[in-house]
Amino acid sequence: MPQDIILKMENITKRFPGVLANDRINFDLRKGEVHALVGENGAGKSTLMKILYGLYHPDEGTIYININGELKPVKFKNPQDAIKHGIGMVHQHFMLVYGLTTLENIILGYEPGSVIDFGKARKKIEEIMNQSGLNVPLDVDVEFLSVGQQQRVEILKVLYRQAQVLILDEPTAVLTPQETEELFGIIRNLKANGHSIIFISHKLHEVMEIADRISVMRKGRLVHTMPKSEATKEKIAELMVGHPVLLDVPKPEIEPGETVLEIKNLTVPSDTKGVMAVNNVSFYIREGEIYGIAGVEGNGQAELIEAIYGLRQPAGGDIIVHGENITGKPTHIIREKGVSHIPGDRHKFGVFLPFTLADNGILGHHREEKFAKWGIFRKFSNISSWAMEIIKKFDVRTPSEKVPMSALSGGNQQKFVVGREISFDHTLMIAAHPTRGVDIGAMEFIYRQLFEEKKQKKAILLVSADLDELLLLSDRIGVMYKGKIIKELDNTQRQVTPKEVGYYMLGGDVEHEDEQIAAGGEENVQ
Amino acid sequence: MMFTTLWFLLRSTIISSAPIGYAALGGVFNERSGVVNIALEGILLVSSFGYVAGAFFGKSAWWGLFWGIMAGLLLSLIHAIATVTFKINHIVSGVALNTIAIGVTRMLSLVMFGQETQSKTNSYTRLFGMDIQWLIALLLFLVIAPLSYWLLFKTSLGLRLRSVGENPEAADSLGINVEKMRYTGVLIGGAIASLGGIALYPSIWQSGISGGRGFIGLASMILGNWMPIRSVLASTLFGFADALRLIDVVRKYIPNEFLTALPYLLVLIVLAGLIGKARPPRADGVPYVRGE
Amino acid sequence: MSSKRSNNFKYFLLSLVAPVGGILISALLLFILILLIRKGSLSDTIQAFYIMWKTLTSKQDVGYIIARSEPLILSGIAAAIAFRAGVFNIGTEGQYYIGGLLGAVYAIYFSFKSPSLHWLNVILVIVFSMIGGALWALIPAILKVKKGVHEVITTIMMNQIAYTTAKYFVNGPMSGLKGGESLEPKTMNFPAAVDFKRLYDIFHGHFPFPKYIPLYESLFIALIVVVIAYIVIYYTNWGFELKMLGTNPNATKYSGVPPKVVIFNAMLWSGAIAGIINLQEIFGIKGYYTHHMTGGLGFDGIAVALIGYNNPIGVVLAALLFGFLRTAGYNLQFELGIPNSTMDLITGFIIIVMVIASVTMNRYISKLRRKEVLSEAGDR
Repeated sequence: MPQDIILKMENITKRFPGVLANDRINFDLRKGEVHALVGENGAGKSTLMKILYGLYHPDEGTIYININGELKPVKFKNPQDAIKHGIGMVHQHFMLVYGLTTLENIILGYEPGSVIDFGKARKKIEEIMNQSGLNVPLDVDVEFLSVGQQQRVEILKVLYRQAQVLILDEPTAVLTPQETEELFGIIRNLKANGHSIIFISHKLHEVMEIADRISVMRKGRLVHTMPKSEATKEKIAELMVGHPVLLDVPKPEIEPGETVLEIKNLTVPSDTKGVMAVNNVSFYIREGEIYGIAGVEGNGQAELIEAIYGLRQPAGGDIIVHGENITGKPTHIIREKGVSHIPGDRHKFGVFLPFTLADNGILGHHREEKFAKWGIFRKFSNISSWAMEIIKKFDVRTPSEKVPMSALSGGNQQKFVVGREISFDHTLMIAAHPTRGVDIGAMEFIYRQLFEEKKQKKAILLVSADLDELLLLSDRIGVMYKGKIIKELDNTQRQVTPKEVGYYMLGGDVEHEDEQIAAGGEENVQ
Repeated sequence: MMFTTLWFLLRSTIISSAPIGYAALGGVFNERSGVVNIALEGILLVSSFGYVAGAFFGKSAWWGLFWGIMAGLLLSLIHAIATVTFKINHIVSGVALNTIAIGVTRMLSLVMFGQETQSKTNSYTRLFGMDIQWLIALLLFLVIAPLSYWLLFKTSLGLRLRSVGENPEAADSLGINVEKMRYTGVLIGGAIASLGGIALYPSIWQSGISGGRGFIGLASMILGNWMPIRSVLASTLFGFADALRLIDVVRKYIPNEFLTALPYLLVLIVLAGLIGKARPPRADGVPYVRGE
Repeated sequence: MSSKRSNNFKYFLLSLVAPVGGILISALLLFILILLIRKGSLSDTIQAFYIMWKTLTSKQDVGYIIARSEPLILSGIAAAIAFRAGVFNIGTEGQYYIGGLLGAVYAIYFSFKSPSLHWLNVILVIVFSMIGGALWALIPAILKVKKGVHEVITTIMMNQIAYTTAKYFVNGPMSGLKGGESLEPKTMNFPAAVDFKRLYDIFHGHFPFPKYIPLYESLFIALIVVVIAYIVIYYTNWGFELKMLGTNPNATKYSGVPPKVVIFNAMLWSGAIAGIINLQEIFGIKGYYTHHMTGGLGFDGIAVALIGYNNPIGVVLAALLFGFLRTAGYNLQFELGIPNSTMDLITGFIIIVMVIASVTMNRYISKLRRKEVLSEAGDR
């Protein structure tokens, strides 16, 4: 048995200001196993793995590595040390350098010689690709690889450095169900070749499928480790949260009303000249409906939203809100017509981190008479009370509205943004990845808020990379592929399955694509 | 008559292009590692002074070379410390350093040569039997530019440098020391740019001698799409405009003021014509803070 | 609740650490420099600091300080407006050359000759100069907005072109030299009704400073600009949008504010104010235009804006500091032979030290605030 164990983390403790991230964790990994590490956001899984990978140093505790049959204590000063001991990390957010080729990315930091011997590197990589079944073009700028390919490059990076232990951090977060199956195949292959894998995830059905052992973390402690035979989804969820969990929020039954948003034959250009990101798309959303857009990132969803929100000029077609054609109008007009938007990346698009909550609360409407006399002279007391309303109604934890946005936690920042967008007068809400980077408590809160919007007869356009979220919230789901909505699925009874969506996300039945679009088009036009 | 004029024009172009081209090359190394350096202008100024003072007092062109490069490196070091370690805005640091460069050179000129606006004449301007200005100019085109390309694209140092300028977080995750790499980029760039200052006017230093060439160098870098050889070639365009001023035939027909303004006008026209094809390194000008 | 107020006060005090610390460190450097220049003479160094102190207390020196800071105030505000939006208008240098030139054009060819219309002349000089400055910022603004060309390079190119353009007009069509009349190339003299009046004359001698101190009506202009700038920046949506753009251009777009419009306006207004930077010298001190007028005011203004945190009050204070440094510098040169360029060095040094200090302090303050909020709110 002991020879089986190739690494062991004993009594690992790590503190950050205000938070005990890892509390006396005991974790071990056996050779040739897939050991899943589960827990919600903020449970401490990432921290633990970063310690294993040498990015953090533990305050207490020891790491043991199996060297020649014996478990010896080691100290990792940096990732280089960890790599030398055969530990490789495949990050959730890919660490690939755009502008460099696949080959260059793989050898970066581990180059054969000060003057790079490209021939030698190429040979070694090709060998690894054959062994593992991971195939990617080597001389292309990684920027142009698909998400699935990029992930394979990340794995190749790790294998190139002769890792025996692979840490996969939320690897399926960006994959379609089909790509996930492919990944599992690769994992099984790696197992067969003697590698051991730590699989971090919060997707319980995947963990159930691929893991040999499952360890659950909660609030910095490792609460339980069990073999797959003992595990059920409910048991894992209960351990994750600490109490029996209702895995979904009840969806209110609402009779849809009038059409709020109508998209007719919309075509939107991409950043590349001559290429259309959105290609003749048509759909509609009614009062009280949540319309979800599914699709692998990069198939036109972002451009579609930008066009509706006035940030990108359509090349053709119409965008109609409450009967009024607003195609091509600028953002502030569109907001005036009753459109609110929760942007997909709050730090980049949604807030100004150094600004106070008060200033962040009126974005997009700061020229209204309510907040500025003649649209010019700011009415500070009105601005303040508006922010205070949002803070109160949406459970934003902060001492005051005068605090800078950067001082809030991610969940509270998002709650504020969601609250702000809901509070403005609107009939259409565009929600893009509304719970990205948000802990489970705030997630649940935001879902309830969206359902409240539904009850208020608002129309919601939801774009999300999280399939579970889409299936939980949407009444209808439009799947985007290469700029078209190739299939619209009815989800009013939550009857759609992930496999179904995944099938269309990858293009569906390409031969009959045109038939489907024609059929879909007729269904969509009222 | 015509032939000698052509040769004169060619030689003048090469010499006029040198400071611009070296600045451009210096800029390439800086920005490829992620640091915007508009203090190239200041580097030209101080290294020009360093050469003249060094050669004058050291009584040899070698001392001039040494002090010229030292001066440029010192200024670059300050820029590196300010932007990489203290992470202040790169442009602000550049502006401050340009101001410091002007002040330091004038002050030192006063102290060493008795007058603020120009130094005494330096007669040590030959190396290996060649006029140093001509030597350094040729060196740029024949050696330094190709060498830079090789360094950036065929060595691991160059690969890591580029990675740090495109995605420092990824480089960090692979164990590359981002700060060390950026310091390297800035210092290499500074050393190269110093050669440009020396190529300006080795026999005497005058205040304002850099004449905006550091910035024209940046324009060449953009025109050359941050590639070493292309940037140096781009600089010849402006060097040519600069050299035109020296041709009598041209001077007769075109007002002096227009000729003086020509290189700068050219930069504007060229930059206006680039239709967004030029793409800087992705992390250019963005301070890297781990854990964000 | 009172703990909140005392906390905010604590943050305010912390934010003062940077400028105060910056000045102290710079003073230290100055000390060392002077010591070096006077070859280790401590008594000379102390005398140098005494001379600097005297500069602050002598009436005529204070007058000179104010006079010297007037153009820097305008230059600083011009730069600050653009910087707040994240636009680096380094072209204020060229913009005041062309602004002044266009003002001179008005004065020579279009001005009213009657003294009772002097006030109208002043207003129109300002208008023409502002147009001149804005015009010179137009090309960089268009290039940035339409082609995304970085404004640092384009504005600096415009600076170089400005000098030679001014030279062309002064030596050519607008020349006022009549065979050996003056050593300085200049335009024709302006009509008396245009020349700016001395403040000494306006106040009929009831003026704290001696007549020879160059203080003119332009001082009022500077102060008015400061007040307007302050109101716009802190109380209007225009100022708010400038700050938005300077903080996060993406979020600015998403808030319905088109960045290109803000950039364009910021550059043009910045250029317009830059245009009137040196009216004091052209219309007050000299009464004619020459490209040999005081140079470097644009760059100094950029330094002033940076040290003043792009805040109009900070700009005034920084401009006064610069005026002080310059005046003290002349005194030092006169009495101790210490070169003026020492002050240039100190200037650049102050910028770097101040900016480093302020950025570091800001980060520190942010960390403190975050800790405070997280622990108080019980992170959820």
